[in-house]
Amino acid sequence: MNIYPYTKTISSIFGIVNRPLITIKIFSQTKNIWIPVYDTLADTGADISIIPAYLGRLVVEDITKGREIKIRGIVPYSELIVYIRNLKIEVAKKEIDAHIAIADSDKVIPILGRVKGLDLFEVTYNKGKEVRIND
Amino acid sequence: MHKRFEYTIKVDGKEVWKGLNPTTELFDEIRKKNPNKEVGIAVDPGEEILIAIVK
Repeated sequence: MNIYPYTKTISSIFGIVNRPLITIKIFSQTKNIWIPVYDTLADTGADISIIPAYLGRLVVEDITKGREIKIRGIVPYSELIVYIRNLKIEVAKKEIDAHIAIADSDKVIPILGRVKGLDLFEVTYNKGKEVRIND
Repeated sequence: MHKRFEYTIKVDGKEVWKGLNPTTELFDEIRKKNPNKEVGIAVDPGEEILIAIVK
């Protein structure tokens, strides 16, 4: 069982909000190292995992390779172009082959979504205090 | 999704750099200065929340 206490962050709505931010690792194909990615949002509302362009450039040669798709949030006119790649990531000390959407900009934070991500684990959100991730 | 998020580069979990426009060269430089240590990235989520849905 891996337990990640929620992180206090600033919110324009709530003032302070606790968020389920966890640390994952992404394997860099270009540098042949694992790169810890702190403060990754464990987001069951996200269909797919996303990393910003900067992080993408650290792990693959060309971030624009892969299937191009558009990602939308709840605001219909707000879109993000991403490229889907299969990358090795480590979540809760378990290595998995994940679908990762590499954004073409830095206007996004790292998100661990469900497909080939959170769905592979038993995940419990405990009363706004912690997220528990179990293999 | 219009904001630029602030990045932090950490060595073995400790912050060594913070700013808006990191480069891959900067990351490599920090790695070089810290052999055998783990260099990682954090992105400050700021005040916004993203909900991602594949179109």
